[in-house]
Amino acid sequence: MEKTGIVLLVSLAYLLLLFCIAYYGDKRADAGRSLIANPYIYTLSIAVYCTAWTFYGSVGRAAVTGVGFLNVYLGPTLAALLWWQVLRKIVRISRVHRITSIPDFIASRYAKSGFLAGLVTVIAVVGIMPYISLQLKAVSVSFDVLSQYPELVQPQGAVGGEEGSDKALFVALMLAAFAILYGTRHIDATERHEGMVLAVAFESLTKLLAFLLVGGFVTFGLFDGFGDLFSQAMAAGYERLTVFEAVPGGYAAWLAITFLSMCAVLFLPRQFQLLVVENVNEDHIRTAAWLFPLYLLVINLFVLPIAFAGLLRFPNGSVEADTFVLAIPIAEQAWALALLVFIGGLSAATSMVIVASIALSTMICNDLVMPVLLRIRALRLNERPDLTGLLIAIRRGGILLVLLLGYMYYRLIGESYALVSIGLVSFAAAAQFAPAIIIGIYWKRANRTGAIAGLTGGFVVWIYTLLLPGFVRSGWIDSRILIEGPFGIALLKPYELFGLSGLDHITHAVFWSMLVNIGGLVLVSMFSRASALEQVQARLFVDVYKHAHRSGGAVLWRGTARLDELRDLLSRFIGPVEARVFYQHHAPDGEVAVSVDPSVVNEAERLLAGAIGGASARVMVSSVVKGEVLGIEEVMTILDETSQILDYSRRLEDKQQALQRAGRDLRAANERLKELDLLKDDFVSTVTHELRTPLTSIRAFSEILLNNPDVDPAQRTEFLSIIVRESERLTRLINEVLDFAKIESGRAEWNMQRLDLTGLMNDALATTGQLFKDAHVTLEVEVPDRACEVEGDYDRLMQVVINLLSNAVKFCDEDAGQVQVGLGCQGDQVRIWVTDNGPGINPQHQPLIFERFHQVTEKRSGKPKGTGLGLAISRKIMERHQGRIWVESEPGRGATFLVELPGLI
Amino acid sequence: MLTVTVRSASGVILLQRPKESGLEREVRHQEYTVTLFLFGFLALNYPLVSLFSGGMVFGLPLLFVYLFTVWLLVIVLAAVALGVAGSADPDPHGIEPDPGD
Repeated sequence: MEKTGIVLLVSLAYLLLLFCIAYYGDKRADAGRSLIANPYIYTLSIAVYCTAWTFYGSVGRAAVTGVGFLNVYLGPTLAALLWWQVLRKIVRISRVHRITSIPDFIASRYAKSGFLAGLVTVIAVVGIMPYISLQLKAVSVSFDVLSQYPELVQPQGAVGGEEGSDKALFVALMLAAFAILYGTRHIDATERHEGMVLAVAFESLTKLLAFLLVGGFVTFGLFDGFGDLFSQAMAAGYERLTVFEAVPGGYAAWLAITFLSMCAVLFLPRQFQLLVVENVNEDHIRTAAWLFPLYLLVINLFVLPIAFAGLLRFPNGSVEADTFVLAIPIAEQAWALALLVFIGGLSAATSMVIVASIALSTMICNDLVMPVLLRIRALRLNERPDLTGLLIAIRRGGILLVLLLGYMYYRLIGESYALVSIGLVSFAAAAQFAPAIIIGIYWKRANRTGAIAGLTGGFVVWIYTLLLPGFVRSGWIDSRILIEGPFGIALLKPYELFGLSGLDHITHAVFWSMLVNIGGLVLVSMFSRASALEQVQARLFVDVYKHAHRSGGAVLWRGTARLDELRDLLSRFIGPVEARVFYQHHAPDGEVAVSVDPSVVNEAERLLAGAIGGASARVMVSSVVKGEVLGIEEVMTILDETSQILDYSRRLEDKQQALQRAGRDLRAANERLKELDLLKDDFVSTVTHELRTPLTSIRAFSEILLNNPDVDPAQRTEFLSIIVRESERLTRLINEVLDFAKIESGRAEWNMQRLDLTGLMNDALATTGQLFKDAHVTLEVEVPDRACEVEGDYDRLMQVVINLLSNAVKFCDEDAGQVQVGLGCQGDQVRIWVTDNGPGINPQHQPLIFERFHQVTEKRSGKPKGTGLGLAISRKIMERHQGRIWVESEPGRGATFLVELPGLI
Repeated sequence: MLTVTVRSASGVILLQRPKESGLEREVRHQEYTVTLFLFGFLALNYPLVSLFSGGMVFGLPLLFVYLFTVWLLVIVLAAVALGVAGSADPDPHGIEPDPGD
């Protein structure tokens, strides 16, 4: 019996570790360094979905139904694919409206109805009862089995009778104490429990690890891998489990349970708490939508191997299949593994119980107890200065109540059912919330009356077809009701309602309850009128993305309230500290006895809703507001106006951006124009200057000739030849200016064609031959024999070459002029070079000589030899040909001008 | 126009396409995940499942292999579509293309 002590001690140590983790998580959260703000912790915390049901029950179900255990995990996988649409919308709505639970959500959607909130809470508490009992049963049974180690003794039929039940009670109380310790330490307007989330994530790791270890041990330790295990199982005649026919209820039940688990993964209170309320970032849903299904897949990998191993190991049914996970290590005398498995199962159960009981206690407090207490005037709760203590006490009581209800169900019924069958009853209850929520966030006309009709109907059918028969089968109610129907009315038999037979119990219940639920919601909504508030809330929920820019709901209060009254109200429910933050925010100057506008009242209501639920918050705020709820037309107008204004402002923003862009473009264009203007001025002044020089000399010599008719003929001839030369220069200059202007403005005509550069070079050399002879310059030519083709304008390229050649003649050494001309034709690159042996060009002048009117003044004569436009025009021409022109030179050692063009091969 | 450029480690451009707006990505995600949901729903239910009931493959029961393979496939395809939180810039307006009433 000493094992009992060890098991107990290890369990307590494990719970203590959990508590430390939760405490640490809370501390970090308070310090503003949240540990849970990442998608992985979020995913792990959702894995609270895998409870003792998964840990022990899956193997039990697999041992009887083959793949029948699997659809409970396939459903969530499919549902997760839609999370990015559906769950994100729910999360957004919950954040905007400060919703902290399922009843809150449904009540807020349907006109903040207190009745609806209470109804949903009752459904949740009653519906989860079986689920909690399942956990208690699993923990106490596994404790029983393990504490008999090294013997493998099965708990007798009714789980050890009184003794077993006492253990379950002990487990229930211990878990209640634990949940109270870390779920209700303080009242928070957001109802977030970071520490709890962290602990739950840790538990998810623990159970996964434990299950994988035991799975590996069974598959690879006891057997020789999957193949060996399955072939032995087939040989032993368990082939019947590998066909679909082993699934009870067949394909209909498969579909029904898939549907149930799709709903359950979102609408079980603990799932809603972790998925929606504890969500810190909508973006985390993206990761969780595939990582969570992956977790489910991994934790289910070894279910079938363990189930088959258990069947092979205990062939005569001596061991209950629900305990295979634990029984196999015990039978193999693997103590450490057995203990680890027990801890894994414990973590699976505790995580579910803790989160569920905290979530349920919040509902009980906010949506069931407080609304009633607040309405009882005799209690004078409105006048109590601080109600946070009361709220915490109610929540603690709620946790205890939830666990005791679970225990009661376990005592009355749980002992005679397998784990999975118990769990499915709760799934069917949670699924009742799905229509009211899903339809409610997509269909505006769903209204309060419809929701009440649907929920009530579905809940009643659930009780009648699933909960009641459970009591009957456990012997608490006369069993004739199952066989003959109530009062002998065969049509009302709980398992064959209205004569519908051929379905298994779950499928049968799902069909009828969903038919009544969805049918009631839709039909009644269509044939009843919604109140103003309902229509407003419907719009706010369905169009949450449109209205989300505003931090709260619609402005529903016409009147005003005094800030100090609001502050007092808040401090009673959420504590003086947070209330002070609120009024400091709205009255920075400390003036509190002022009236505030409706939006502030609204904010106060939402803050309050976080702590005591939407319905109660509405009642409380209305007690301090002077004024009344706006009429439907007014609210609708406000909503319409807001969305119109939003639309306008968005359009305005677009326009503004377009204008800014246009403005930028215009500014840039203006800069460019200014630059061009400056250039033009420069150009004009340079041109006139250049024109003046030849004009001056022409005029001077003409005047001399005019005033002195007796100039001797030789001199006259000289003067006249100067005048002619200068006139030619002037003509040339004007031609070039015109030419340049034409090219620059883009008006020049380009006659681009395939042409042979070799021929062009020869023509150019022939044209300029006389020039070289006159100047006594030796010319070396290096032009290839073959044709060298480029695409270009013949005349323009000729102009470039002639310009270079005449420049070379002009600038080469006066006494022993030498010029080399060459053409290189190498594939796609064609190069022309002209080298002279003149004074060369200073490196700092080299880039400048291609600018217009830039001339390197010759030091010796001080007189420019060209017009200063030739090279600038050449550069323009080369640019037009996608080529370039540049110079390589050192002062005193001549200069080489190079032209490069893309060649045609 | 905004573009998305994917470069290899050595800086070579592997892929360049116009950057889609938040709304476009949203619609693409929704279409993709809903399609995936329909695929999974059909593949994991009658009558497709019944085609794989019974028999062995690689020494393992065909039904188990089929279910787990489809399951894994759905998860992988979802992971490819949705990626990891924080890897893409969140949509600025959170607009959901809502069929409306």
